[in-house]
Amino acid sequence: MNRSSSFFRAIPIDSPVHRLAAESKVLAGIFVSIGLVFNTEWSHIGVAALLLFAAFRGARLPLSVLPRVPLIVRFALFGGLMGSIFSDEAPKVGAISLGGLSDYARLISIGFIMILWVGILSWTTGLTAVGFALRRLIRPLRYLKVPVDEIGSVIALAVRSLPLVADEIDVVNESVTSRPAPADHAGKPIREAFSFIRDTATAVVIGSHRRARDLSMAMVSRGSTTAPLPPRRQLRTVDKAVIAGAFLLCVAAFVIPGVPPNTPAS
Amino acid sequence: MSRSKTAKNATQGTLPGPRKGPLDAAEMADAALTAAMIVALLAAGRVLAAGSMMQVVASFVVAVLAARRRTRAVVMASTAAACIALILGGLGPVSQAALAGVFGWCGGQSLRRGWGRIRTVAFTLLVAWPAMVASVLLFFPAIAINRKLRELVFENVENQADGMANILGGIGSLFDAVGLGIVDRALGSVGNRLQNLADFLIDNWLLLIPATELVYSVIYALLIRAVGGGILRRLERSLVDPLELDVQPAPEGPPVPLALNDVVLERNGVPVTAPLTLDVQAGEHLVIEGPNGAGKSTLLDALAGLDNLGSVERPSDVVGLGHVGGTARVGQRPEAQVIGTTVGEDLAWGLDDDFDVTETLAGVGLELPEDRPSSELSGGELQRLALASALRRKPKLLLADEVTSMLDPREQARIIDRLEALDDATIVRTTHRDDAVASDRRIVIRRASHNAVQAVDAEAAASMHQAGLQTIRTNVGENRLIRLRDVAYSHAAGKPWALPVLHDVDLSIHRYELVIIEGRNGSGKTTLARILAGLETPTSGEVDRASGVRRALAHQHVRLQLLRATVDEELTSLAGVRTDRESTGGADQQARTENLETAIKLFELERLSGRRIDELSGGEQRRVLLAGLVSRGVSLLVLDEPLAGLDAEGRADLARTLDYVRLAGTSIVVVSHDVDWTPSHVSQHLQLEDGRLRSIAPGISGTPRTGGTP
Repeated sequence: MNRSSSFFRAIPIDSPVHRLAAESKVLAGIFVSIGLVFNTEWSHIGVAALLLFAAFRGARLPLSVLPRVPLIVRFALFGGLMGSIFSDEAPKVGAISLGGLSDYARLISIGFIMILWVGILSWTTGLTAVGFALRRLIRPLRYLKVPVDEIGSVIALAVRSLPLVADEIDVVNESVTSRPAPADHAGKPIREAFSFIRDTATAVVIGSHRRARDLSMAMVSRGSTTAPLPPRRQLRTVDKAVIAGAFLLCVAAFVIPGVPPNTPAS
Repeated sequence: MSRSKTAKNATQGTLPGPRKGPLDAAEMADAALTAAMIVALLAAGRVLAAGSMMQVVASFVVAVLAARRRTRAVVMASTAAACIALILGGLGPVSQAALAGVFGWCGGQSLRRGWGRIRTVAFTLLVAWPAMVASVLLFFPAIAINRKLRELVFENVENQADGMANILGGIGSLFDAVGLGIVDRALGSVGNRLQNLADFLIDNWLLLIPATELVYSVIYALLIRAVGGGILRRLERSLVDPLELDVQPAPEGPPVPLALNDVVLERNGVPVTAPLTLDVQAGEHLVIEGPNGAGKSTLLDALAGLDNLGSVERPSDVVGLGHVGGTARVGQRPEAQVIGTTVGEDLAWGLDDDFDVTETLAGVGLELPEDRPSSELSGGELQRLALASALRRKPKLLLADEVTSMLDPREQARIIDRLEALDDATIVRTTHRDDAVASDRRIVIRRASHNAVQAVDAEAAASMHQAGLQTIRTNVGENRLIRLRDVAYSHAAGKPWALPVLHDVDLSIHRYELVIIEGRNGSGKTTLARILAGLETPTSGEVDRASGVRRALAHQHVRLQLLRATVDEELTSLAGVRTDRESTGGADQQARTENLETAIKLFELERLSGRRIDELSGGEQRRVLLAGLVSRGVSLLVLDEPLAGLDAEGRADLARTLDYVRLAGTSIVVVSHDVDWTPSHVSQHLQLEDGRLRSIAPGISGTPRTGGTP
């Protein structure tokens, strides 16, 4: 099902990665991403790709989870490939620029690795678990007088409402796209787009306004607007190891120089 | 200082006063729903590959919040959305969500203060533009502080420009070879310009990025002002001033007895009930019955002190809603009553005690793990979970609004028994089933008189129908509209976690048929409805369609499918009819226009002409939707759960209308979990159980199952 609510559903299989605490996955993802995006040499990309591959296998995910690349993105990627092949970047083999290809491949792999890291998080962790993890992760900020209970409650209620709202948005989308072309705007694409946006947004907002009313009444019926503290989660040794490992790797990425070194743009 | 603040607020009209401190319940709910909408819109953008457009829509949503609520609510909503957006794709969506928050806030200030374009743009440039620039330069992709990534990007920009120039040069030399040197020179100059442009970009990035974002910001600000203003005006016309609602203090004594003395209850400032006189003594069990729209829920909300404050006489002014020993309330829509993200969290919400989850759940006949996400619960499970939370408060007054509507008869009887056993509690519950027991005090409330006029109208219209036969023109030539053979469907087909939903479904639908497919939640009926409507492709099996057959699905949530402001606009939009009378559409256009005229008569919409969609009742909204869909020339109309929340009169009305539509030439499929419905003609009555379809005894009306034409 190509519907937006599929983003919020983990893939229901069991694996070591599924069993990791959501915190470990969120933090490890952030550390590895930072290490990679600031260090763009092939060596670092290679390490990140290996880690990604290991996590993917560890999560027992089949290749079929990978989303299809939209056609427009495929066209853009192909155009970029052509441009790189015929660039003048050394080294060159005949008319083909290996240097250009290498630069292009680095940029694209960084993009894909970042997207897939997040993919592994969302394929192995339910939205509810991520919500709990986020609320636990922001709790230390209470020492800085950040109203973490309030933010945490909004996160909890948003997580609770998200699947409902996503379904509503899908219904609105279906309703908009299944309508015959707005005949009055035929041949006026800008006005058509405008009315599309306005109609979608209004329907979504009105739908959610009713939900907000119900939600506030339900909260008052419970006598409290504050969500209970998220259940405590004792991090297991393996979780601590994953977090520490990702952190060390991130530090190492900055300390150890990458090969081959970046060639500065002229 | 405080003086100037008051003055400023006074100019803001209906805005809430200069409150400080944490969000109240209504603000909290608005913030949470806004956060959910931001994330869901960004997710929809990813699915539809229209990410940036949905980011703009998300900022409209924030603008609406900012125009109606305190800045604190906007900050909370954006922060929560930015956190959750992490799972959509890392830091990119996080910055999108945060920026939608900033731009939305600016737009909201403009809308709330009624600024013109220039002030709006100036304010947005002052606040949102720096945020956008900072986000790109310092947060994601952090171009300013990430030298290596910057160099890699520039290297690629340069390579692309060179590569394109070379490709253009190559093409040019081909033209040169056939004597078209001018093309060669032109392409060469394009290539050069590309390279110069790339060099210019690379040399001036620190200026160009802010400059680009400047242009974006101006466009953004104007869009939000234009579209956001439109949304806000429609909200203001259709809804009400923002709700003000906060948690009630703990009760000082029992919340009963209660009395209403000849009061008319209102909702959104509109009278809903007839004048009510009622007294409720301690320990009484009241069952309130009455048709849709009589104000049963409004009465319960008034008793709960949520609305119509001051209309109910109480022993002390304190209701103690949600507090132990006070008042407990379970509202109508099951998914709206459960607010925790998991079963355990929902039971713990608002009560700070140790309790046994399994035992609490067993009290309402549930057996669920504590960490089961509430989004995975069925309607019946949600109802019982909400009831368990209410009972945990040992209420002196329990207000229950249709809390057994999603339960099967056995579970329902069990819950009613449980409630009857609460001797020391006063219970007021509404029902549309005949489930009051002998010891209950039954109260029937009737609609306010202005609704009676409409009923007479409907009767007059009904007699008019019988005068002449109406026909909807469709392009279908065959008698059999659709045939499903051995159809099966699995969610996530082909993946190891595939979930089979439908098996071996065989079904033919002909013209002039009304087909009822009943099935419990989770039986696969919505999937079957989507397959019949052409919105989903079966995993295996055949779907044969007659040529020219058009299909449509009417979802359960009617309001979401109505997009325009007025009935007339909505009907022409749904039907795809031009209103400017230019006859470019040809025969199809002609047919739709005629169909629309027919449908308006069939669905008795004449008297709704010129009305706003949001003024209509749920039943009227559904009639508008169905009329519009039928006018499209739809020959097979699928209705998903059209009976939800309809009383006996509403059901009879729906049966009558659908029969006219059927005879006019549009076949109808009704998919429902609720079998308490008796249209006069049912061609096929089917039951879906565990994904298998079987025919059950012919319709209650006694019509033999023909499977063909009438």
